[in-house]
Amino acid sequence: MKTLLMTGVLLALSGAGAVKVGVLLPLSGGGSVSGQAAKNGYQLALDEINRAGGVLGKPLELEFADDGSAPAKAVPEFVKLVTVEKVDFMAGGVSSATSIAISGPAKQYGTFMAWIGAAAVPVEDAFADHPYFFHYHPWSYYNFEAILGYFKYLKTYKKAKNIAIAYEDGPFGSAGIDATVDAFRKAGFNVVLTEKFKTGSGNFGPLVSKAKAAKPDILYWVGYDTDALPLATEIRQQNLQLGLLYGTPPSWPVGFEKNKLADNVAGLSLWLSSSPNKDSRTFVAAYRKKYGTVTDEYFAPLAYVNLKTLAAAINAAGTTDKAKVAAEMAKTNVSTPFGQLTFSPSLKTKYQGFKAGNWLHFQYLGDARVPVFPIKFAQKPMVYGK
Amino acid sequence: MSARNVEGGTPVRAAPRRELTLGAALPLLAFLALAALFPFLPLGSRAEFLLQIAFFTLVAGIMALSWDILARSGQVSLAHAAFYGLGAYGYALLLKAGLPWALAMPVAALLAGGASLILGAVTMRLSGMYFAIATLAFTEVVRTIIQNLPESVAGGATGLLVPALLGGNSRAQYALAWGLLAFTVLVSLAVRLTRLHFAFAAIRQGEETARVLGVSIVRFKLLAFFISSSLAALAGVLYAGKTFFINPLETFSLANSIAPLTTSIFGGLYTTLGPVLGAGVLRVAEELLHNSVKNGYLVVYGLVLMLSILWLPRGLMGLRRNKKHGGDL
Amino acid sequence: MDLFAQTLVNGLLQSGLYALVASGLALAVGVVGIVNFAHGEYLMIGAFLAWAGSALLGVDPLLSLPVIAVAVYGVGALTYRVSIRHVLLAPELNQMLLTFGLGILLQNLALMLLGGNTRTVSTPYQASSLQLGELSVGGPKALAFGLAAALLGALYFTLYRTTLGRQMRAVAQNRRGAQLIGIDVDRVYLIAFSVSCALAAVAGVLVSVLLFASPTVGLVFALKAFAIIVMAGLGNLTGVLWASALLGVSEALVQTYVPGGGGWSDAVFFLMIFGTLVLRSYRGAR
Repeated sequence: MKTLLMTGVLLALSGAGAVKVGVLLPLSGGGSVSGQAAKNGYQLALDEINRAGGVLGKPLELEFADDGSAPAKAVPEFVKLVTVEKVDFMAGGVSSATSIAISGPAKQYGTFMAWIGAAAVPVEDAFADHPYFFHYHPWSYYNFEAILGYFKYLKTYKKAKNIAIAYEDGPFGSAGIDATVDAFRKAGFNVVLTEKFKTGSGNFGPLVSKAKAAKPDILYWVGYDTDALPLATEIRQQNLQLGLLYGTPPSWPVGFEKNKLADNVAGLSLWLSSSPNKDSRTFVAAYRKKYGTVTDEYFAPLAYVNLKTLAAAINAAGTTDKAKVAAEMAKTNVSTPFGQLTFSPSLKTKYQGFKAGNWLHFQYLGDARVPVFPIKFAQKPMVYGK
Repeated sequence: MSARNVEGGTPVRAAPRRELTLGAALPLLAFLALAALFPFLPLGSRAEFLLQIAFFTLVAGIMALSWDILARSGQVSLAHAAFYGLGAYGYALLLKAGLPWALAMPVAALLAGGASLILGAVTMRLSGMYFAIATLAFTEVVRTIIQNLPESVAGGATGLLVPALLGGNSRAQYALAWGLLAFTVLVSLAVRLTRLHFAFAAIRQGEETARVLGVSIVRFKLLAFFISSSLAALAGVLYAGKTFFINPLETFSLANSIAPLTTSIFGGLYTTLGPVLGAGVLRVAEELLHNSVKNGYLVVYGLVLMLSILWLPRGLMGLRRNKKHGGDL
Repeated sequence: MDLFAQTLVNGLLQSGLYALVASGLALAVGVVGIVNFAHGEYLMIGAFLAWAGSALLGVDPLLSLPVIAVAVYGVGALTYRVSIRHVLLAPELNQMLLTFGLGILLQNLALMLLGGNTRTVSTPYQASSLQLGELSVGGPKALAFGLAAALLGALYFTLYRTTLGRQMRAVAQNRRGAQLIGIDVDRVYLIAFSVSCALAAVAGVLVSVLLFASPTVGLVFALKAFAIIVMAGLGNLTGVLWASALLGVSEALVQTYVPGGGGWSDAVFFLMIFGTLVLRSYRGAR
């Protein structure tokens, strides 16, 4: 009785039964750029949701926690959000390793998870049998599907035939590389070079020398933002002739667009701040109003969409009951800065949001990133070097 | 005492041999008892969360204390991550091969211990910075090899999924970690209270003299390596079974070699209580900072490390040493 | 044949970067005996200052280099005054913990103030190169190599031909003895530590031009630099250049001629260091 009373008082103090969403993000450590971007996106969404009346008639509450980009930190933080803060739903998640680490407690507590990042296939295995796992970010094989689509276009229209692949030797670059090579071959490309490099080392001399001998039309590199400039520099210095230099880092260096060496470098993004999509423009305007700047990190709008759709599903369900909210979430069909969002099964999980068709291919043209493919989104014709 | 020796002009601090006195053992026992009772403390809604933190603290304690055992023989190693990682990988691969976990765990530890004998034998004549960098290089080489093996063998750069330890029951996992820490403490005490202590200390303070005294340097150095690395491997097993996922970049990271070093120095070198206490205090401090400072808590954490070494050059154990007390354990 | 020659050039160019980072560390660790785990962080400060000068003030990094060196000398002197100085008599391990804490502090301070983003500068000469027939020699990396050689030469000259240098070596050999013959040990340490920080910053400026600036940029290179000076033998300045060249070229050879060699280059780098240390320990006097 006493405890009940206490709980009652506490509830009254904390806004009586407001819906609480826990957000686990890498706010420090290796993934902090994406994590901080996502945090901004969440706060923007929170403002809008609460201005529009909140969730279930009360202002929505967010509880942020920092996973430090490390599994050993993520597990306690996750458990804290679920058992101490008693959040009703979990959102966030960027890194794959931390996401796998929390799959244990997530299943133990049956936590409802609306997850934005973690694209690696082992994550899909880890959450395959979790009934309340909604995954927004495309799995890595969807990323590749998008890339293959673009390259096939280049093959047809630009006679691109030879591909050289350079990938960083860590988990990000190496994941599924054999399958990648096979898929390129099957699609009729010659993979003339497959070479690893050490990210951040700036040591691209030997790689470019080898590539020069292999004469590729496309140099496809899988690395991080730190590798963009050194690679472009080395290609220019050794005068490697390419049709296209195409990369898929999670983010690009700040100020890279102003560098002459960035000209015509191409890449992949779920979203660009210059996207003409109506929802994207609305997002950019709202973001600028709140923060005074424009972001180029796609994790900001992804987090924004994540929270908005979760809040909408809870409101539609009229309860915080996990099964009912999941049923409403599954019906999601809204337009977003990334295009239409619906949930459908992936290879192993039940609720997968964005897929291959949501990726954009852009090129650095005249101090900005410009979408060049798919053609219907292209704002400028692409520049092909051969 | 025969081990009385000279190290850069300072007299030996290794206390003369003494029996296990209650006064010296009390803090250690108290610490272990508190750790054992932890899951049963009335911590209310925070219990589950604190148990998770405590689990990783125990792992850090095993790492630090096992590193310290090696350091007692004068070998300041930066290869602890290698054995931690070998333990984690050995365990995961043995499970894959069909061994039950209770067998995979000790076998993985012994395998890592065996690997450490090779490293120990090769680096026998190195000391100081040369030894430290050689062990660091060893770690990097092991990491690169595992990373470059075909994915079907050890998961390559992507990593391996590991089945949950003890079915993911966090209390059972905690109990296991506690048991392994208690085991490490027992091993450490055994080293401290037997003639190993004098052999290690003699080697640490000057191999020449130790040789003159008839200490078999090769044997004791290798023994230190074997003990230390097997225990580190057990910590690696705990980590792998708790986080379900290991990859070369994370398990073999330099941070895993440096953390036990800093923790031991912070707590108090060449003692049993020091490294364990160091792990506890540092983890609690980090957690408190994380909750109070939030943004940039690591800045303060770095500052805490700096100040601690300026004010407590002998670590937390220095606080005790000033008092008239028996020997440190 | 062309590929082979280009490989050697590639290796030598990369080794310039290694030697440059190692030069400052060689002074601190090798000569004066201060184990500085935070060395890479001074490199990071240099890289960020160069980036800030270029991006915010429009000053070319190479022009701001002297100013940055002096500024970071000051930061080093301050670090010495408030921290390093107090652990000089403490065991090496205590120095390690102190500088490790310092490293965490500086790195996370940068992360807090600037965020984790990678930043790049734009200069007109960034991709400049010298073409010798089919061979291509990258300009900025060649500059880094020359600078490393010059700095190591200057260090060598200072240590063996000037009074300050003799004092440094005296202090390194026998602190108490040096004190007895009237050397201001504190001042010598202050200068040596600060100069080593300034040299790290110089390396940082070049790194910002060649690669990027980020809070973690120091880590990669400081680790390799550490290994290099130990491989060269503590206190052996000319050895630093040789060791860097040897390692750089071996890395390049592996990367070019071994399939998937990019993944093995680190193993080769550290295996060579491991082998050298072990072999030397068995050949060496005992």
